[in-house]
Amino acid sequence: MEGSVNKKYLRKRDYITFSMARFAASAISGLAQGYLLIFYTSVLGIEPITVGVMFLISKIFDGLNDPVMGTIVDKTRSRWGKMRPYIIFGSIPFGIIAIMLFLPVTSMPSSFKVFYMYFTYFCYDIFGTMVGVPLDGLPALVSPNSDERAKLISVSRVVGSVGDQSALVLFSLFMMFLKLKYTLMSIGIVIGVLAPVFLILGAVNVKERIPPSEENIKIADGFRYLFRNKQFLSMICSNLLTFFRNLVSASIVYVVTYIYFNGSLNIAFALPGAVASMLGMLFTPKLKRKLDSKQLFILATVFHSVALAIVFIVGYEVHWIITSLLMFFAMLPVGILNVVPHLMAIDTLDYWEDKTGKRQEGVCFAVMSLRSKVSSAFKDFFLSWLLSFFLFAVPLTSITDHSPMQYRFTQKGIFMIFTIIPAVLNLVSIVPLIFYKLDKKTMGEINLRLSEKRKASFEAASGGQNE
Amino acid sequence: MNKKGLIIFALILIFALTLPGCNKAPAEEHFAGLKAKGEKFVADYNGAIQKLNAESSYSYTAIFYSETLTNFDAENKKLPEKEEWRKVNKETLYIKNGGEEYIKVASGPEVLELWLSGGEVTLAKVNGAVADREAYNPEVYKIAFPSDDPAALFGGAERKWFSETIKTAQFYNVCDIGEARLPYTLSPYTSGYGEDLSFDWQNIISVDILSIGLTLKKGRLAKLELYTEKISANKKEAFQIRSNQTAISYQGNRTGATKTVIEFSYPKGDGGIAIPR
Repeated sequence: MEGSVNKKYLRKRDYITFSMARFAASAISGLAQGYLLIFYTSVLGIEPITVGVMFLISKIFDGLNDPVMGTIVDKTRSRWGKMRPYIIFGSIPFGIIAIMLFLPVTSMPSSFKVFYMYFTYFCYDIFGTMVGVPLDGLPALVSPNSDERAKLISVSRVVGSVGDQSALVLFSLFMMFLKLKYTLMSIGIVIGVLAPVFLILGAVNVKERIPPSEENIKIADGFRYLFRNKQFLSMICSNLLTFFRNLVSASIVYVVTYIYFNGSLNIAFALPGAVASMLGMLFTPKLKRKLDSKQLFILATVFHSVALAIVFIVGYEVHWIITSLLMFFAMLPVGILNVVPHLMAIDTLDYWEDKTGKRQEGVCFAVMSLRSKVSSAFKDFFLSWLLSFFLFAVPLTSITDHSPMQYRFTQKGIFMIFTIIPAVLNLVSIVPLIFYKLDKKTMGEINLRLSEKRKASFEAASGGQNE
Repeated sequence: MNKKGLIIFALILIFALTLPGCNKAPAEEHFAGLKAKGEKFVADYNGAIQKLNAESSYSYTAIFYSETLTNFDAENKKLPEKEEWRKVNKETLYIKNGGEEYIKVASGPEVLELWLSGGEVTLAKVNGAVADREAYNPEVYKIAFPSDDPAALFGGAERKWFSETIKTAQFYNVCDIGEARLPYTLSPYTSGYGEDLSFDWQNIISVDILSIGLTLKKGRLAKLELYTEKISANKKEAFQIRSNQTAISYQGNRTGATKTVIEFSYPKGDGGIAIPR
């Protein structure tokens, strides 16, 4: 390993190209997460509950897929490193699948549509994991300097959150000229073509500077790590339960279409929320100096829930500008909640290295990625179940641009999915953190010990070379 | 469990969960199920309306909205290039107290009030000024509670929500070029069912959709929602350069819709709801 742990390794270009890669990956996942459910239900006319079951099944598959990919990454030794080859070679099929996901196969019989939905979604899952796991793990290897790694995570997450919203911006733009099915297909094509370019640029430019450990890692190690590292386990459990909060952004399209009867308001609701979330991300490093990750997580969760409860109490029979404005404040803590788990994950890696001498970034970020997908599947399943429960009338594909009128009960239900349901259920994510012990003082001690260990090992290696 | 076992278990689980998405009940079974649901809904609906009519005193507020595409050329099945919609909003207050009734209808700047006794108009006012009571037929201003043929049922559901029960149903009627108006299950110009339902727009004039939502609170009618949609067949002409011919395709677009939401109130004590004087 090169020089001191405080030395700066990353250039401006590294921050830019890696953030572009993060932007591209987030653009595809933002498109899939934001519009797949409405594509399947409104364009292909598949029942919400059938879609929900498919989302759930895909996550059972991810339970194997992600940890296996993490271990494959940890076992990889190549001249390009262990993460970058997968991003470079996986990005083109990932882009093609993004296009295929939104092809409107509306004239096909329903069983073919269901088959097509399963096939394309599972392919999306496989290539998404192939690219996503190494992309998440790369910041942990690009520099031995922990400040640089934290800065790269924070900056790329902010840019990634812009990428997350790119589908929304394109959606509002294309909807002015095209029907829903062609809008979604066009967004798929634009993002599917550009994303691989950004991903390859990012992966080619950034270097892996922390060499892999020499030990032979087995597939089962990926599963074992999750249960042995108790701090990581409690953090992941807490993070898994944050999926309720994603109901807010996922239900925007239903709120604007079926409560405010204006699909183009989508951007007016989602964009302030995204800006608020970005502001939250930018303030996280400052807040982190005053509070530790656990305190920050709890505070942000409570703030978010209270603000959502206020939006619910105000109700939807007010002008949409008021609702949108209130949502801006409600979304401020979401940026913090998006960054803090990644900082906690690095803390748990340090804790594990201090305790065992092992550092398993691949597995750690594969489990993080799995968590994100499982949360997303729970959210999709829960959302489709809630829509079914609230008697959501599915548009008929045989009628051009059909948006059926919804019952009052359904409208109230959609607004509850947008506000009070996530407000109440969000609080559950605080419970597993009772077992999370990595506070500011503990992490200070761990980092000091690790810094000394790394320095000693570097000096030993330099001494060995001199001899 | 070893790795192979885990993979086999996951595959079986995936396969088992996939089946309900692909399997469908045969058409006869599907339609029989719908008809049974429709008959139950119509019975529940009629029961609720009968119970309402037996009440000695109740009131309702109704919000009515309608939109109609005024420049749709129905005869030639042609959508206009620039759509013009006529939109109407109306609010009605109705109070019944024994043999006395009161109706207030607000539509645009005009407010009409009718006082009835024994079904006859005793006083009429327009914007507060007394008007000719003979000129108004009260039945026009009361909400007519429609019903429909259970064979036309497209879908329906029932939910319990705290002390409320919500019953919903959707009816589809197809008006074809022979001018027959038939439930969609009996129309020769529909095929498939469920999400595969499709219409032969070339032989159809319109499809009328009626959605009814019935909210019962402690067994009494608390809310009635009626939504109608008129889906009119129209043709699209596109010149095909390759074949040097004009291709005509037919599709269905919404050309009219109405929304009626009626909320009912009942007297709290033994006395009736007071009629304004």
